[in-house]
Amino acid sequence: MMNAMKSKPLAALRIRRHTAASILLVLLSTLPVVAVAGDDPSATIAPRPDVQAPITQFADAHNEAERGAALDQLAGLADTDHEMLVRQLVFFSKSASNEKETMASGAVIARLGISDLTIARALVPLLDTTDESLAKSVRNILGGVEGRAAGRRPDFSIYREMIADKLRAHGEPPAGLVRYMYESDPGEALLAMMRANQLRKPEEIRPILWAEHVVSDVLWKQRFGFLAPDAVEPAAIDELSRLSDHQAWWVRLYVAEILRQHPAFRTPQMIARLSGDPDPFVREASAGLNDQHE
Amino acid sequence: MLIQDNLAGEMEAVTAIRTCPLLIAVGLATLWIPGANRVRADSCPYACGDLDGDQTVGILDYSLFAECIGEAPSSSPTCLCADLDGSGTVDLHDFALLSLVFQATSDEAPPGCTGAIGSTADLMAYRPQHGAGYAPFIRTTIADADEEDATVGPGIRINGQGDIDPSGEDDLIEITVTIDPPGAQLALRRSAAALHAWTTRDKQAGTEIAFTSDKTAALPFAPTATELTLWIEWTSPSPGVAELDVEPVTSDVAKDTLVFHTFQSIVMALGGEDQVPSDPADPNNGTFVVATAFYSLGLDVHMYDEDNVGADGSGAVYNEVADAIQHRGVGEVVIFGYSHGGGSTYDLADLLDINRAGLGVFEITFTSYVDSVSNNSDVDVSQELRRPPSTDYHLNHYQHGSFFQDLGLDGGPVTDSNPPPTGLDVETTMWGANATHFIVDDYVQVRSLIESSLLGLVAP
Repeated sequence: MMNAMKSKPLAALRIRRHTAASILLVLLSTLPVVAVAGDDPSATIAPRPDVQAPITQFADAHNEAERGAALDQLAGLADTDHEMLVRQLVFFSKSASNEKETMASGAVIARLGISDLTIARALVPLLDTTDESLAKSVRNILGGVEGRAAGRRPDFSIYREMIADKLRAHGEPPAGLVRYMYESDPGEALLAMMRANQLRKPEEIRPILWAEHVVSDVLWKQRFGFLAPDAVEPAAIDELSRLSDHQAWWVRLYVAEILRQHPAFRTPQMIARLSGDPDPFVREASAGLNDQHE
Repeated sequence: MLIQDNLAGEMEAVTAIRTCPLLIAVGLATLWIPGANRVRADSCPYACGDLDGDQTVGILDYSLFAECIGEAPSSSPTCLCADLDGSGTVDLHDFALLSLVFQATSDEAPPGCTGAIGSTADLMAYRPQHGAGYAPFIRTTIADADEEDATVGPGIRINGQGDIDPSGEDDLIEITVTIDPPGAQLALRRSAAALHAWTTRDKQAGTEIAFTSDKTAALPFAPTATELTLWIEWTSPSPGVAELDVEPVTSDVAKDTLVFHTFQSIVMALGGEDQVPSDPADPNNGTFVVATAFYSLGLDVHMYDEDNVGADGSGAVYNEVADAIQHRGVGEVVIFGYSHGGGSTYDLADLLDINRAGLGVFEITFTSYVDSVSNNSDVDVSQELRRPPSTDYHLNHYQHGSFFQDLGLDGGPVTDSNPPPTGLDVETTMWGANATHFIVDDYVQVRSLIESSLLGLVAP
């Protein structure tokens, strides 16, 4: 009698869950794809009902067993495509309506032990998105895999490998990633690109290393009060001026980005040179330098 | 109580005074007079008839007047005020003038009293702005009882040279001047040249109200208007306290006073994921409930989404604090947060501490975690167990929950925290035994301990 009494509500519950899942699948099929405009046409997050359903179940579970089952289901999916799961988790998190749902994606990633490299590979293609909200989420999560902390510059080594792969295959580095790295930390971006480009000759490496060092030293002095925020040293401007004529676009991009972020380094000569640069990245970063230069 | 008892029968006394004013006034001469010792010896600082300086002309002023009849004005500060017409004696002509302004006000002061009925004026000040207005706070008035208090009264940010104003010009304090009747000629007087007055919140050209010898000309009320909004600025780089009075153009007698003090501290409140700063705060966002309470109490509070603190501590919140330290004379920083806001509390304190050499002298006076989760990114779910670097006092609340209850999201013990030694696991208390990560910030006991701990440590 007890079993019969228990089984009836349980069966009803299963039916209700089945119905709820069906409704969820129908609803998910109507959800908009998060649009991405960039170099890579596959860089989109289209919600997959078969993945969103267990994520929802994980977040809103009614008991421990239900949450565990949802996690097992996600683990099974992740076995075949971790990067897809990461993107689906980001989609879910972005669509969340409360704190628990927002935090659920992080809990899944932690429970499944998804690596930083997987997260980076999943999200880098999304850096080109025109969806500001998605871009913000992606940048936020990537910041986490770069080991950022107060007093520590971002570690772009995880991207260096991805860029080097592209270059070895005679491809171009992902545009969104390049833009993101240089905007985040032009110096670290320069060094990451230098290594990804596999420079071998010391006489090619040293001028780049030295210039970055000299400019970083000025920024360090500004930060800690050894120089006023709007003061620079002539040696740093000389180094930047030299690099602004470098044959590699990713070196000239460094100069353009430094000038954009730190107006005190600007000179009319460098602005004129970079504004007419043949590389679109450099021209893009140089846009507006003239307007702001006084 | 004595005053109240006497005032209760004041209307009856008025009739009697008009019948035989001198007799009644003499009879009341033995009453205790509040404020009489505030009269200065060199000149009468009060309006005509207001001998006790309580900003009303009542029966108590009559009693004071009676004591001075026949006395030389120079015999006491009160008698100086009793010589309303400046004739050199306190006589019936002065009494006639006093009767004319009885239970009214005067915009004149001895010795220039003519018996003309004056205006009333009231100043009201508001708590500080944020960006282009007050959001995420609501426009909050300062209670009359607090407006002359140099601690909980009108706080103002220093708006000196170099101030970056990361959120736009928002350092001016709004005040309203209310007058009766319309057309009354009233002016502002300041006690320090640091105070400036504008008719626009963003100091548009041509909208400053000039002070000459620390007093303005008649305020620019529209012909029939009874209220005027002004914006007060503190331009000196030095902190301090200063009075702003509203008074008749024709006298130096204050009708109302605001006492401004420059903020010495700044308070940053950081919520958890999906928590949006608002006022009134969502009761489920305990951090912001506490923040709005502090704002009402007069602290310079800023509420932020925790994502405004990057994993390296940089961002809009850091910029606001750095500007306050470098350009607004702020020497005390308070940071508190819940969940990822706790993790961001650590990151912000860490960057501030690292950058001390470039920022200047300041203390991180108070920090607080409520179930703090590290915030290296939105998907970071690890515990934040590090004490915020260089904080003088750290309060820590946490719970341990379960995977089912709260996805395993937990704060935890933090070395050298309060309550000692590592903070309070609320699940060890009667009231918090069923806590989960998602409700731990909402307990009144948690909020109250943050409030009481901070208020004992930080000056506004």
